[in-house]
Amino acid sequence: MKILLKNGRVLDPSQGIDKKVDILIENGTINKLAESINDDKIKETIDCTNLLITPGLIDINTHLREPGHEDHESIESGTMAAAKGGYTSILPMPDTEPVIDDITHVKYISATAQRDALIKVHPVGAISKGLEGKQLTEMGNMIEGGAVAFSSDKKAIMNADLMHRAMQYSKMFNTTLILYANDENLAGHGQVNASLLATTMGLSGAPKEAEEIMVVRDVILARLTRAKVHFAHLSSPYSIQYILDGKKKFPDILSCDITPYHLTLSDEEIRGYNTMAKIMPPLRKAEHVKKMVQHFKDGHIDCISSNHEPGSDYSKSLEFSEASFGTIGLETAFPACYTYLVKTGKIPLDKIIRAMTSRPAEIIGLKAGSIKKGEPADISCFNLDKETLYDTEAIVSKSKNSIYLNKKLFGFAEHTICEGIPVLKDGIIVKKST
Amino acid sequence: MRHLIDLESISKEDIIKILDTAKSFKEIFTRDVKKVPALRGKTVVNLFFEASTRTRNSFELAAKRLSADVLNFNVSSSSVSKGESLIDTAKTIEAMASDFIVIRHPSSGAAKMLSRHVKSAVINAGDGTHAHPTQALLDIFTMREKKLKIKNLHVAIVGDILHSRVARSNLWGLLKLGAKVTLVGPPTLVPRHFSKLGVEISYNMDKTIQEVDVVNMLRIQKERQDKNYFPSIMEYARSFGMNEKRMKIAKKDLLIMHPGPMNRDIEISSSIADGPNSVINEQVTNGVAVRMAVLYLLSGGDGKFEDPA
Repeated sequence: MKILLKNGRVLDPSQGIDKKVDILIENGTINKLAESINDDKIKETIDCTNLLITPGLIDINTHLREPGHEDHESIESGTMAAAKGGYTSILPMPDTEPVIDDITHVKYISATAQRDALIKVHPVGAISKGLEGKQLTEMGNMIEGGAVAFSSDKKAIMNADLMHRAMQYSKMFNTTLILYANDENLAGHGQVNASLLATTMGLSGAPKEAEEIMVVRDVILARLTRAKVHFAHLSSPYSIQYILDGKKKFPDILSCDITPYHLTLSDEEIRGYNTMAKIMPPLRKAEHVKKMVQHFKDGHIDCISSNHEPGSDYSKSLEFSEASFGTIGLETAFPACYTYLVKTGKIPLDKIIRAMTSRPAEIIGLKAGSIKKGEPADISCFNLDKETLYDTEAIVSKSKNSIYLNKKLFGFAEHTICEGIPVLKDGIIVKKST
Repeated sequence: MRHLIDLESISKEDIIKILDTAKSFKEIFTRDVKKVPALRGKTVVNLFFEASTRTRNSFELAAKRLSADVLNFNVSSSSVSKGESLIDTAKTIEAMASDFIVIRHPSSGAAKMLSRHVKSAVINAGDGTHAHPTQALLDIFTMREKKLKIKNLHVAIVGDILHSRVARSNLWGLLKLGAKVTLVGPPTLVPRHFSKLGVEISYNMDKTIQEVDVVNMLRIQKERQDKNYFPSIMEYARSFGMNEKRMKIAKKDLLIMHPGPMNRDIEISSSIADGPNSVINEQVTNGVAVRMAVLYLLSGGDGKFEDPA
């Protein structure tokens, strides 16, 4: 089957391409890139006039809730949300019920994805059994089952000895450990950023130092073991400083990411006890957000992750202290970055795209993230000129807990193509034919 | 003013109006018949998710002295987490045609949240560690009554500021009325962020006690010791307790307050609590007057309360 993408602006930072090019897709792979392709035999031509064409986005940190909480999200609904956001590859975290901590669970994810997923799902295994931080999992087995990386997810490994062993052991497979840096003792029951605002609101704060301390510890351990370590969804500029320091000597083993909301929103969002802004790590002070934007611009932050965390309406309607943490993010990741960072001139577009395509692919070792002849045809087309109201009607995810709810955003995806198959067309999900 | 959630969000003028109105109500207490018909036919629901006898009693008495009907609705917080949400409970109560909901809740922000979902006027009787506006109003009322003005009055709030909604509400009220506020306690219990609001922070009770006109002693909870906010009750009492030794170096007319219930001989010595500088019992009396004023003003009273008899 042939598909032709015509008249679009192709932006592929991995090859330094930013120009009007037509793309011919054949049998799921990219067949040809040329200024103008005309072929009568092509069955399907997608007009990409005024659209931005990029490699399909890659999310290094997603939560799909299946197995265990399919009422909040499933592999099917989560990948639909991802397709809507222009993603073609995602890495779901292992914090499901049960935890993805052995090969059978990894295979369950892969098999379910094979059946239900619209895009590519690359399972991430837990570093410790049950994410309890006590005993290492069978990483080798899980890799055989399809795991592409390992994570402590939302439960930081507090035991430095175990973290040390995990890093040593992971080297055997040259795999990446995706770490959540959070000193649980120091963060305590903190719900929001520790600040004057939190104090006056009577909310317990999780200080950014709780993140920094663990970043420092794990940078030290990574330097000791030379293991590949990726820090997930960072929130403190000081964390970036410490990683940068480690990168000077070991540029190939350390990396990190940030979410769109940690780049665009401050802790002011919690005013009025807005539970949508109850997020871990917490939204930080505006001055720190500004510094994170500068770090990103300077190339100190490798990736942008969605940290998509579906939760029920009910769990967000509770009292602030009882409400659930997290916001969904797959659908709005690029539009939020485009609207608040690119359109405002804070960050160039190609840096955003690189952080959402080729850079995560390099870190995990995925064959994805660029538009090249012979490569899988994972491609996204965004409409940068159209402003869309992101209301509950517009949300594809099963959960509606979005920090960007009812915001008007530019840059939603029009088309998403995964391995040559359109999974989003004219902004509408193309359901999997069974 | 439609609800009373905290003192941060209401104006100086509203605070003064409440204090002036409370003064008129207090005069009624000296009469044989301590009741006025101002809220006849209205319903006040005391919705308490936390055990509290004194605050609930005070609100109940205030409502009854205004001739309102009172319903006490006690919910143990354990049953809340098991099912019915705050909003569901609130809707149930409103179905009983309430006009006022007085809420106490262990979660900061609960009163604010409730106010978004009900037609009744919401009065915050303490939400988590956020606010307890009527306590602060009665404290300030008492200070004003005894010291005649709040402007430039130097007030020390002593103890567990970190976990105290009373301290937070006092802070906003006092700052708005022009008082000088010093927060005293160990650094573990006095958030340094508060200095940005223009208050002093002191870790030295002996020094501060010599300078202030009013000292408001907060209850120290022994459980804080388990979390290492301080190493022992004894060391806490020695460092921050209001005792005879400190009384000697304080101003002669120092006003000593405590929101209750007291830990005698821990944050406050018995002899001090019962001594001539203490106004702790008057605070309780004033609490009723202040809560009458809040109910009355929220019901649409114009603040120029006149004898209805």
